[in-house]
Amino acid sequence: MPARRLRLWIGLAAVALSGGAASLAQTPLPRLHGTFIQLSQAHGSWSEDSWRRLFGYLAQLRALEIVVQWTVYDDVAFYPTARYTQVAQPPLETILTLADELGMTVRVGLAHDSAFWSKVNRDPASVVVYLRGLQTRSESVARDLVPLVQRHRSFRGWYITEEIEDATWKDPRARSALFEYLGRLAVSVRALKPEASVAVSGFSNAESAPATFGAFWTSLLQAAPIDVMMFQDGIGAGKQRLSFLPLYLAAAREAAQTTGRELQVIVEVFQQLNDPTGFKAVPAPFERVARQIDLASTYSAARGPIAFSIPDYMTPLRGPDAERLFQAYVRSRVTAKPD
Amino acid sequence: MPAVVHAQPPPRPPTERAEILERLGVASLQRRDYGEAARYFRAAIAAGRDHWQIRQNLGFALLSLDRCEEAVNELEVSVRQSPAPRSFIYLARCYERLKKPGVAIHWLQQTLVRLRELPPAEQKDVYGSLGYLYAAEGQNAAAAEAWEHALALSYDPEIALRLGRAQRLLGDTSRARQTLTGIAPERLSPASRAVRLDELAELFRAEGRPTDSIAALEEANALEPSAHRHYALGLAFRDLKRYQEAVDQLERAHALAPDDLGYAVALGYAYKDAGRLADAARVFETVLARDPDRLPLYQELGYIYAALSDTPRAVEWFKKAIDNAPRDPRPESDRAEERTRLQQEVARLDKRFEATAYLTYRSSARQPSTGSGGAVGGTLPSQSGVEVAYQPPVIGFRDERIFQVFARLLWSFRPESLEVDDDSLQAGVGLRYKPLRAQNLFLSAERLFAIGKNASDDWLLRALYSWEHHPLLGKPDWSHWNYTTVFADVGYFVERSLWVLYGEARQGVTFRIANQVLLTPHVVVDTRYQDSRGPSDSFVEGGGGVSLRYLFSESRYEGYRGSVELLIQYKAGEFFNRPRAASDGSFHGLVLTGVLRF
Repeated sequence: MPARRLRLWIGLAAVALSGGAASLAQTPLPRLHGTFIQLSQAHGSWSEDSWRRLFGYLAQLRALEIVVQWTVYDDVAFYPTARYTQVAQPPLETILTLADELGMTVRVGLAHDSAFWSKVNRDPASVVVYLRGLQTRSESVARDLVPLVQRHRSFRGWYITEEIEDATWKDPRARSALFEYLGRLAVSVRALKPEASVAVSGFSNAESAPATFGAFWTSLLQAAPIDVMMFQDGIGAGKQRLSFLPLYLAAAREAAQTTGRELQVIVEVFQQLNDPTGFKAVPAPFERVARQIDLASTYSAARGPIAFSIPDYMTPLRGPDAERLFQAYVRSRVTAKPD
Repeated sequence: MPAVVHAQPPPRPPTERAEILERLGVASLQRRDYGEAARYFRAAIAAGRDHWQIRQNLGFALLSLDRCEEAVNELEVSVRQSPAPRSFIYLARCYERLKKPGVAIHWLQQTLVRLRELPPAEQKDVYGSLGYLYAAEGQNAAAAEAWEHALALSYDPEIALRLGRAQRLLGDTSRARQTLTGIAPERLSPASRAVRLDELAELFRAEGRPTDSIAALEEANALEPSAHRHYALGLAFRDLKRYQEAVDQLERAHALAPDDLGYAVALGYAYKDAGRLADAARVFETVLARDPDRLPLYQELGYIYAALSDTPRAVEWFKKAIDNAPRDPRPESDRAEERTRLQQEVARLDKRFEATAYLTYRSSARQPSTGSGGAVGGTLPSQSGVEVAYQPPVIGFRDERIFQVFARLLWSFRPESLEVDDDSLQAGVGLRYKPLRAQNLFLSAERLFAIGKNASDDWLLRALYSWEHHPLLGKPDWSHWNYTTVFADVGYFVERSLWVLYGEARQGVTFRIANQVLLTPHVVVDTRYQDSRGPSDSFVEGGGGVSLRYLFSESRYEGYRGSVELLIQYKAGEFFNRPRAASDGSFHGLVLTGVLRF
């Protein structure tokens, strides 16, 4: 066969293969459904334009769901209130308004106590008392928020800010206190707005076996009327590895299915740095995030996984690495996938 | 001279080189030179020799070097190529060291499926490790099962000790005892011998053999002293009411582990039991400074300071206990009951003034001229009166002993009217003291001043006693409750050497008809006896009626401070040898009484 003809066949085969690849690329690759927004004091000075810029990027990423991680952090409130120290420009209303405009939904977090982790690692009798205090606080915040959120069609539900992991609640008394706390809080916030769903998130340090982890969550969801179990994949924080994460995802899905609840996987789009002075992280490489998204999508409910967090690690607003992650994601998951 | 050409040996084919590198790696492993082994295995893989066994060996070398992050990468590649049980074991060890015991359990569970491929020693090792990991998760049943399998392969006293503990925690005390007593202590390490004794002590305690439990704990503590053993000994001595020994042990536990607030709380209670109230208060306050969520300690401090006669501090702690109500996780009914009780404590301790006024109307002139004002009237025959009492600070309330100064004005009405009989006006000023902690007995001395011509100038010494079955408000979730009160008053008029006795008992049921309104239908009997030298009446009477009581002036810390009561009673009775009575000495009629307390 003449060399030219051989090259032609090779070329045709390459075209065929590349066509095949193109059609493979067009099979819908999973996307992030939305993102957490972790409010801090700095957000208190953001102008509406700043929020519009952020939401512009979220829209480019086709984010459809926002989870505001908390609306009160210790004594700082991110909505207008006299009960706490509110930031200069409380952003909650702006977030809800922009979400209304862009057709997004918003889940609103309640109160958060930064001392939570140290407080729950005490004598179970003290933990019970502490959780009762948290319940009262979050209930009062939810009551404060109802007039504000009910003006917005984007409001979807509540997010309980305490993160539930598998090391702290081994003691049956502490576990029972946790279940009671979540049950009471979920019931009371549901009573404020019956159509609003209630979500709580959790993660695994791989301290308990996957089956034990699943059984724990099954009991929790049976005890508390939580609608959405949000499972943090723990990859960015190094709590999980991609190799064994599916074991815990399967256990979480089993718990959600057994109890008829929804599982939504949280994809950590950061890489935590080894810094003894405190939490520090940088945007994760897209290849890793892509694997996380693909895995999370397999286990998440229909709405798909949610990022932690696009505003911090995945927009051009947060520097070149975050921009690289943003662009890679857009190339791979947005422009390559028709809406 | 011909040139000598040194021929270079031809390079080995890559596969052969890789094979040699692998062999060198294996040889290094055999020499336990794990660093060298890892280098050879990596080089072999880089040279193209990659199979599950070389990855397993590399993983094992890295595990031996404690480079577990790298080891799991190699081992996971290995098990993807071939699911060898030994790779599972290595993975489990790695994840255990990486503080991921949950994943370690997963890999050991995978090992069980192909356990027979391993020699018995490794099988036992798998079961032993699995037992430890399950126990750390709190899965004692699974741990016990794993350890039973391990022991079935070959006996191991250390595993038997863990099994005995798991059996005890599972409540299977007879098997636990059998397992633990079957262990020869000399085959255990000293630390494990002490643990065995701890376990036996727990079994003895559960069997109600506290002395044996203490003996075992003391032996364990001699082997290996620990804060926990001192603590356990302290609790055991407390159970036996050997308070001083309990204090000694708990002080040692607290000294060894000052950050353990559980030990500190136990020490505080031991001090309290031993009567060292100031020490108990000091410890409890320290605990609360570090953990304000230990709610029972607030009222404990209130009672301790009350017993120490430090009323201001007692009130302060009771008020804090009341403020804690929203954080109290108990049911609302329990919280409300406790709040009421604490409010009553504050009201008693913090009281400065109290005032009582009563007014009685009797429909028949033949009835006795006494009212139903309880302690205000009592031995003095009066239909109405006002009393103001003052409880001075510091000495007014000391460890449930109460001291008050009081003044009162009493009078009667003209028969069948509400017109004050001026001749009956009687004033008095006195002191009274409650000497007993638990009984509501007051002793008083009072100077009486006659204002009306029928009144007395005299000294009156009295003893008053009252008892009631339930507190005024019952329990917050009760709609009705039993009502029983008994009041007795013995008085001696010094200058006239005259004894007077008065007693009253009521039995009824109180209904809460609104939050602040109580209705109490009841039967009543009362009697008054006075030495014949006096001018007043001696009689016995009884009847029935209702009490309607309205509570007002609620305060956060003292509850309802005031009440208005209307008593409507119909009584019939008989005088003892009195000419005022009918020929048969009997009388009857309506008795209306209004009482204001503030």
